[in-house]
Amino acid sequence: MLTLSEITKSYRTSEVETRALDAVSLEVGEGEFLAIMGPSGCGKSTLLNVLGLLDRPNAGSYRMAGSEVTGLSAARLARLRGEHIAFVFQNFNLIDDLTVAENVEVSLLYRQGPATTSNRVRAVLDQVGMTHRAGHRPQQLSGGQQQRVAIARALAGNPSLILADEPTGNLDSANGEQVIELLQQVAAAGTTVVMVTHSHRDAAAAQRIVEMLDGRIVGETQL
Amino acid sequence: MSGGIGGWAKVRHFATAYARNLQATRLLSAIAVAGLAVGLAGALMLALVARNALRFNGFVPDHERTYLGVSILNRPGMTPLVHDLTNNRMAALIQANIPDVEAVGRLSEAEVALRRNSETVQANIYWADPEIFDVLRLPVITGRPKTALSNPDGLVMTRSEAIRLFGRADVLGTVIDVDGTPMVLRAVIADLPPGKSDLDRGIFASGRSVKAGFGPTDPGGGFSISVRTYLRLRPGASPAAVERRLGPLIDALKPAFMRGPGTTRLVAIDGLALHPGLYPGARERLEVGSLVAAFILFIAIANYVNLSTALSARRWREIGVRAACGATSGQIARQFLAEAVVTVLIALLLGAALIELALPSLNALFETQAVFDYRTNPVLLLWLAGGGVVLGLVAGAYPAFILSSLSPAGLLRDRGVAPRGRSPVADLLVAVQFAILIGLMIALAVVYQQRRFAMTEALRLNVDQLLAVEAPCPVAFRQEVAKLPGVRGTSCSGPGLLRNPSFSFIQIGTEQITTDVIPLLPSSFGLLGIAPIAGSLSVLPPEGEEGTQRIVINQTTVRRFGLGNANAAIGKLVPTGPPGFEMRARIVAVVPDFSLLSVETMIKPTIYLDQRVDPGSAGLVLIKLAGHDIPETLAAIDRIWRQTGQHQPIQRKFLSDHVEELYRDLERNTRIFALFSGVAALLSATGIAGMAIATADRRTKEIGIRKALGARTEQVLALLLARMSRPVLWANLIAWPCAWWMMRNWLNGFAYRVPLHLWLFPAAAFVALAITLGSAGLQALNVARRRPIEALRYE
Repeated sequence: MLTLSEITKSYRTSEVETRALDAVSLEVGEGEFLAIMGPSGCGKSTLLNVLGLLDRPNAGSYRMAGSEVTGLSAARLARLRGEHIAFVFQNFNLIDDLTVAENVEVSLLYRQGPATTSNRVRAVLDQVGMTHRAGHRPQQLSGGQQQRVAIARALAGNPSLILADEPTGNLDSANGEQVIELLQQVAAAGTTVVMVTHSHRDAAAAQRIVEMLDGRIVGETQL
Repeated sequence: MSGGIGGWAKVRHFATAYARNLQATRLLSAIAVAGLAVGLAGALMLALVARNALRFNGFVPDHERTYLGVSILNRPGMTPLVHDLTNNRMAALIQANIPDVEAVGRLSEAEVALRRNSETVQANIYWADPEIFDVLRLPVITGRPKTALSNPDGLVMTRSEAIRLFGRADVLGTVIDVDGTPMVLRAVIADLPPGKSDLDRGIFASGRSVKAGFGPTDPGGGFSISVRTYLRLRPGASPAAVERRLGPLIDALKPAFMRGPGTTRLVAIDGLALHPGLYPGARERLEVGSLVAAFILFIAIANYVNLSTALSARRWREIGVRAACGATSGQIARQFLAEAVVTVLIALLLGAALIELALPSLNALFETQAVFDYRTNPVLLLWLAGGGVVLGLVAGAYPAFILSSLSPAGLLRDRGVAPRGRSPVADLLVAVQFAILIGLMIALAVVYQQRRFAMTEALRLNVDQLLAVEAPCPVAFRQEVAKLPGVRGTSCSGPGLLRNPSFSFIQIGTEQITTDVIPLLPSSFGLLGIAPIAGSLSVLPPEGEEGTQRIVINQTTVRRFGLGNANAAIGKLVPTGPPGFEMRARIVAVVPDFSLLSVETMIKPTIYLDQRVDPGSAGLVLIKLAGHDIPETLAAIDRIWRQTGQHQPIQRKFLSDHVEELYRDLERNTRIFALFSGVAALLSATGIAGMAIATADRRTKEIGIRKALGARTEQVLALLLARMSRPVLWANLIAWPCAWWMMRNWLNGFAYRVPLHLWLFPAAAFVALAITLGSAGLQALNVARRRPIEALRYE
């Protein structure tokens, strides 16, 4: 489903150039659950941003479902993001001013096509067990609950790809396990999941682990 | 893959996000909205005042080709005199000779006694040709105004005049006595919008009545100007061509010696309010008002832009999430633009309420009659709504651009978004905002100083307790008044002492010098506190002499006539009339230059003739009061006026009031600058306070680090305040040269003026800085006092 070839990404400040991704090539299959591991600063999050079309590579090719996406306009990338990709973040990134249901609704706002009823919001909240908190604000929830809402938001648009950046990083182990289970269920249902993690335990839930170091892929383990 | 959500659900979502953000930032949002509301209200009120002048007589159909005839008297070396009156016979001449004129009619102002059912009231009316309603087709309520005035006893009134006099408007056929002649109300017209027309009276009496004085010759023979002549040109006709044809027709009415300097011109009735000759200073007031309105609006918008940009930091995560969910930068920009438009519209609503409350006071302060007539004027509502949307787009453009250009990947990272320094745009906006405030304060100080100077030092005479009664020196009245215990002395002068003095072209060598000539009894100098600097007044007969043999002159005459110095001038014979007239008189005294005319014009060479004013012409009785029992003395003067057989109501005023009137423009400008400097200071102060609150959070981490490394509270406070003050100090670079240039030009418009004191500039800068430190200080102190651990935990 995703094919990266020789992807390079550098950041330039006034004097220093930092190479975050150095000729990375990777293939991810449809419905696959892939974990990316590596020390801090090795380029995991940059790779996730490139995969999620939030950042553009400096060089290389990125094909999504067979189509090259590196040269697309910002508006076209935004549309692809809205229709096919969803994110789950370590810090949840819920909007404080909106309720749980309204936060989930955000992922449906920028889509085209026939209108979806509020049933979809209720259905995904039900799926993550958060229906009873639909009218609450994020600050009124525990970390685990907030991450479940974030997953509900990711699921609402039926994406073909979910990118999770250390989704259990701010959770205790019990809540972390629940989140990993949810992601496993999603992958089992046919959605591709790419997860960045520091936790070997979480990574063990994936089907394949890719190891990164200094912007390169240095190892791969099929589980 | 699911579809999107429906249109209304989207609107509801964005409205919710907007409302919750307002709620979460209520203090700062309230500052931003209140500032905008005050700024919009101020700017709109000044615009409403300006609208009256710009759309003067706009309610008259075909106003763009309707004109008022004005008479212009050109005087060498002096500003032309402009009168809104023309010759009585001009209308008939136009009708008979100029086919380009479609309709012409005359009005003449009069004060009459209206009597009905034994009740008498004084009223200001127009004597009017029936044709005036052909020219000015005013909206009719009942009757036919033109036919009404075709009868010599016909009357037309506005609705409110009819109600004032008769208690109701439906009173056609009612008879009322006008100065002893019964007249019949035959038509009622709609009220004329106040302040939007030169027609400020609501009663039109038939010009065919013998009382109107609209006879076929000039009153008293000769040539005079006594009526207002309105005319409407045919479509496409040129006013200049009509003026060219009119000139010789009017000249033919004049005696030969009057043909040179006087001309008749046409002024479009929609441009009357800004005519420099008819309403001096009106255009400048409009320009000053518009400039101040633009400044106030700018300050309010700059505040909003700065505050909303600072506040947007709390929405970076929201923007990142929206971008991750597929929002394009255009969609994000549109969201924030729409929020800005809604905010401006809310501020506009609040501003409208403020206008409703404040407009009467503003009208009283500026002596204007602006109305906020949005209920009856849907076009105004459309303008307001349209203006609000445009302003919202302008105000929202910068924050929307900044927010939509942020990288979503950076916004979503936990740590990646470093607190930014203040943007150069925000600093520039604050600098310009304070430059305006500093400029307004300098302008206020200069206008105030010039006004004080004009009304005290520049007068060079003592107008304290000096009363002027308009009368040609009636002997009995003067004698009786002089006996009153509250009166120190009396004298007489011509009306030229206060306005439009007569003048003569006097030939000195090869030069013709325009010289004012004022008849004045010698005792007047004493009442005005003027002592001769050479010669003596005692040689002059106290009650005037027949013919002109001896004169008093001012210092300017000594200089312009080349008489050497004041002492040398005494005893010299000088001409007192134009070339060809053998009029010469001996100088017996020289007095210092003084004037009761405006300081805008240079004091001219002036000859004071020891003459009493002829009974029958205009004049002034000067009465110096002792300063005690003033109400009783004034009542006694009024009583003596009636007892000594004067028929007209007494017209009297204190010369100090005359001086006030003379400088009413200065007074109004002082009020405009004072009021709006206050508004600008308030807006700038709240803006700075808001910015201090909004930016303090962003610098919390930096402050924590500094304090952890040993910085003391006062050092951190100094750092914060220095950062806040920097754009305010930069503001002086913009404000000083602009204010210097503008106020220098303004002062140059006065022949006698205060110097432009340079200390005003640092003083204004100091006040601006004090406002900044005062409004940001408390918040900065709160932040500087925080314990470092709190500050570091914040991140």
